Amino acid sequence: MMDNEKEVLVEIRDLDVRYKTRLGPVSAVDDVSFDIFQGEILGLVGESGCGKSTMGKALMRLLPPATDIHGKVIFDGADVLTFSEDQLRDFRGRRISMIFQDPMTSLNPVQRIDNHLVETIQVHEPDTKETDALSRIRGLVERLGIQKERIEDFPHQLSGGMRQRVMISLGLVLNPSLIIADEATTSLDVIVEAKFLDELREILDEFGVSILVITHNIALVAELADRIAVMYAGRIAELGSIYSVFDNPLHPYTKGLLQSVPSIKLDEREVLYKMPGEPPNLTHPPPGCRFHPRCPEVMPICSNHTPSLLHVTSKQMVNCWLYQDHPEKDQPTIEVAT
Amino acid sequence: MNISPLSGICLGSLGIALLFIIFAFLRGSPGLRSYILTRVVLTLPMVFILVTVIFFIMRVIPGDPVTSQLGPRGTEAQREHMREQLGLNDPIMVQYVKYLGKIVRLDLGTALVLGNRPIVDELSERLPATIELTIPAMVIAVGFGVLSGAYAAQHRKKGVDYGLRLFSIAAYSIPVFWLGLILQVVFGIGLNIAPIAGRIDPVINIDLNRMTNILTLDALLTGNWRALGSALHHLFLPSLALATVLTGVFLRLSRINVIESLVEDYITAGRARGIRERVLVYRHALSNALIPIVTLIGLQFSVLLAGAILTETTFSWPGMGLYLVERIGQRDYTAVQGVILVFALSVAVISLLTDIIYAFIDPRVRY
Amino acid sequence: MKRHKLVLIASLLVIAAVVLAGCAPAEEEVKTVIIGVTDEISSLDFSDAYSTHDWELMRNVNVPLTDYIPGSAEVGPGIAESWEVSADGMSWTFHLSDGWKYPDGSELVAADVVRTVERALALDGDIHGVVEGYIAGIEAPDDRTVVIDLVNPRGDFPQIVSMAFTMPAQEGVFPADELVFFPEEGIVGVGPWQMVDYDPAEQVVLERNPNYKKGFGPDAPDRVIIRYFEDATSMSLAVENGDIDIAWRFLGIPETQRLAGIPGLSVITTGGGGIRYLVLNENREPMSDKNVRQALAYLLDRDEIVDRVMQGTVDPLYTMVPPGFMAAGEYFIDRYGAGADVSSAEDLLRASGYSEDNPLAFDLWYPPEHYGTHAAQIFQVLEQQFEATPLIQVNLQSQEWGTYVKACTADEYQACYLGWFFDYPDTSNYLDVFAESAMSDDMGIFYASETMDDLLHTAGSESDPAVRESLYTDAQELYAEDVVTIPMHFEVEKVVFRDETVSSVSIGPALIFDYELIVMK
Repeated sequence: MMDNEKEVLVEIRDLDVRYKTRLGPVSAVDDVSFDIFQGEILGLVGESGCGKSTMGKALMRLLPPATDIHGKVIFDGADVLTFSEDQLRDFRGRRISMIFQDPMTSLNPVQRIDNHLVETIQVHEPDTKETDALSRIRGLVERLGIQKERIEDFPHQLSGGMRQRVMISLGLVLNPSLIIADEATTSLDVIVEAKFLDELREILDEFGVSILVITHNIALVAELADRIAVMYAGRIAELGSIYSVFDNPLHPYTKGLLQSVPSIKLDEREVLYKMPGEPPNLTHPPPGCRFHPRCPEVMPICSNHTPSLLHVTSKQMVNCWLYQDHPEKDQPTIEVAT
Repeated sequence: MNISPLSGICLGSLGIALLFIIFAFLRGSPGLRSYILTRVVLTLPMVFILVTVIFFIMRVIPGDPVTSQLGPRGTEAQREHMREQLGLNDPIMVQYVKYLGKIVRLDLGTALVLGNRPIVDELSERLPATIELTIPAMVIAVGFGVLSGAYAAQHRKKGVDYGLRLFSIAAYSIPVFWLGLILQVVFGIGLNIAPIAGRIDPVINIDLNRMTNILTLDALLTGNWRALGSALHHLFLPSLALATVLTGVFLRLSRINVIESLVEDYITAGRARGIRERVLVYRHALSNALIPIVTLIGLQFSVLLAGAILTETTFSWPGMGLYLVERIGQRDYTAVQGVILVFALSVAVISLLTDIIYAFIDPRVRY
Repeated sequence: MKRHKLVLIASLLVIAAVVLAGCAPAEEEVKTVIIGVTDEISSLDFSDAYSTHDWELMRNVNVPLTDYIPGSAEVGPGIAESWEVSADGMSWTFHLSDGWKYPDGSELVAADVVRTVERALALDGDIHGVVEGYIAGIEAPDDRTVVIDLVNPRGDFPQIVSMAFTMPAQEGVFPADELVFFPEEGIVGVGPWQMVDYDPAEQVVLERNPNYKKGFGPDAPDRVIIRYFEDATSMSLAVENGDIDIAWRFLGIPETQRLAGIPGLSVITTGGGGIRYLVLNENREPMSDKNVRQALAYLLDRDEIVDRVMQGTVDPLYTMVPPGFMAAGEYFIDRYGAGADVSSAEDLLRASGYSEDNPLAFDLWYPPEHYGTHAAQIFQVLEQQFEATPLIQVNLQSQEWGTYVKACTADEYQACYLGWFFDYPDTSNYLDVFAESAMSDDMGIFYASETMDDLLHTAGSESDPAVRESLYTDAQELYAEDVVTIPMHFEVEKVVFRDETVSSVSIGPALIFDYELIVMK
């Protein structure tokens, strides 16, 4: 399934996002670099507040104006962070679109469904007549299983699953290259969620679009994604193909995270792992590796120096001193067999 | 049946209201229908209570209509005669029942002064003037207030926002008669571009064929462009004064609501689809913010009428408010009772309408 | 974007249209004068009206039997050119002059006058009581003669018939058995103007009566529009702004003072106006004591009130009869001096048994707004003046007008403040009302003196002016001696006009504004 020959769609380099708050700057994303390939599904997982949503928004520059963003987000060779307002408007929706967590609140309550779609088309193609736009969306809407007669309804008249389909159709209507699905299934019940996942897969295949799935639900990623990026406290802890990361998690945080997922086969003797401690306060993140206060395998160097996200195998990158050399480090560096 | 102009206006506007309610009823969902039904049924006891309260208030306030009309020179026999005529000798409950009976027949009694004309006739001459003043004032207030509120929300915490907020507080707290005077002095005297008082130029007035007594409408219907210009010209200052006082409330509410709407997910979602910021503010956020504003229009209607009383006095605008002030001065109890009744009923009807409009335009409303 | 521009252009056009509409010169060949008033029309029925403004309109539309000589309070011929009284004084014969025509061209006949007077006698209008008090019957022996029988002889009857109830009305205008306060078509008469359009809340439009007997001056207006204002402030702004040409009654003191300083406006003081006086209720302690009333008359300093409170805009009044009327004079100065005389007052009070330990205490009432907001200041000064002696303790009280005027005239207060404006322009109307024993009770004064009644009755039925003048002089001396009421001041009316359009206006002491005598530029 995984193909190394895939072309890179988005290159994220040294991305820093700092929110300004009354308590001081919050380092929500810190020095993050990774790629998103064309046609892949990349799962971005982490606990609440780890910066994964910020990351998604940063890709579209949807963060509040007062936020500091540094680094590069190269999309099709152009740096999104240097876009003018006009370029940005054109870029949003047409090149990248976003599916939000709550489809109820993400649709304008006083705007009809078809109007949402037509407006989205007309924003980017002002010369399109409304009738043309309507005929364009017809196929898409049908493909997504939205009944034709419901298309003139208001959002509140639709079911949760139907609204989420509407959100997807809004994301797809302009054939973007990347869809960011930010906790897109959180508000759905399990059965609807399963259906939704199937559809997402099919869409990916049909439209050849890349998807960045942002979620705290690691099971969802296992089911859906080609690759997984584990985020902790604003940094990527581990990044790799689903198979390698789930079969052989390297970062102590990933290990903990996987052990804490309940399985349906759970019997009485098996006890769920509870990770000690709390995620750090990002106004004053811990020095060195941000995970070190909670890390079961902590070393002296961890609190002094910040590790980097480095390849340990061709399919797996990890951000941990266990796998990296440093002059001050006394333990041996672990080599991972490919 | 002989229909007086006031009954015509009342029945006409009630008819329009009814048409709207029926329209909403037919177009609406079953939930909306039962809501409309409940709301209409609830209005009836409210109107009844209003009518009753007005009756009893008019009888407990100090002062005596007989003395105020006959003056000190009236003999006891004249007083007795007048009391009999006004039905003041009946037991209060009998008076009350008679009063209710008359109201049902749209008979508000006759004036105690100035020719003892039927109140209904007098009000039907005055009501069009008030309508002509208040509707443009409301339109200006809502239009300017809502748009500038959205503008302030868009430029939140910038200079223009602070300026508009300051303006809204000032506009809200300025007494309308004082503002009217200032406008008269500035536009009427200083710049000399607007007339001080009245509804139309007296000379042009002579040739204006009055049908509805809403002068702009009459001028339009008869194609009398000079009269239209003059009527609009005279409307300028009073409607501006009245509108300014109302603007503040709408500006504040619109600003707050747009600001609240702007942090909603659907705005972020819209932004993520590349929709322009201006469109997000003025179409998406504002259309949602408008819903509570519609309710406010209903609530502000009573403020509008109160403001109209003072505005009409300041600009010698011969509408209901001026009539009320004149007749209070002359202790014309039946006239005062009539005006209060018309005001109270129109507030009741408007609030009914705004509630139904609210339910109708907000698809989410729970009945 | 395009739509925004359209909206902008549209709104600019509307604004421009509104502004232009205001600036565009009215294509006007008719010379129109617009007069602003804060008064209002109460009734346009000749047989009912009993208010100054109604009478003003009527006098411009119609002519009574006798009429004021323009610019004076003297009465001369109206539609009647001459009149004589029977030997017993009970019957007056008026001879109508020729040439009086209504706007439709028809001639005035004596029956037209009989019609109005008979309606006034028969119907219960506002003027009914007055007419009934003087007139027993009326007939027209021929088209040019009117004979009126009286209830009692009246020497001032020619003055009395200058009231509007003797104005002729054409047949069919007013029904015989009903008052019509607002006739559908307005009113017409044989006067200089005809009412072509009116709306009691907004305006009255008068145009020339083409058949007016006396004709019009070369610069008289072709059309007069009376515009009704709610308050003096907006009326004063309107005359300043040019919305109206003339601001007439009632301009307040602050408005006239302000307008006087504006170039392009002329502020004219008219000869006439209302009087203000203190009612001393002689039916109640302590005002039943003549010493007390005289002491108060000694203590009052009218100049101080006029200067300090009214800043010289009104004139002090030393008798009830205002200047310009027969036998008017300064009787209270002659009796009590011009300023305050505390020692004379104290002597009188001590004589009545008052002392520092037992001061004269009474309630003094005034209405807070009806006579202008400066009433409160007048009464503060008045309280100081009365309390200049420790023998007096004044308790100031105020009450809103409706209750006040009733109480003041109905024996409920010890002392209060009222105004008076004449019904017909004669000295008798300034004295009978207060001092004649029957009428005095109605005014809440309760003065009764046979000497006074004799003087007033004799003067009333006397037709020789010289004899009347001396009788009224005696009556006023007695009035001052007995302090029936205390005259305080005389409020002169002001009229303001724009020099741009108006050269002059003519308003005499009788406060009659003859619109045809307006001289336009």
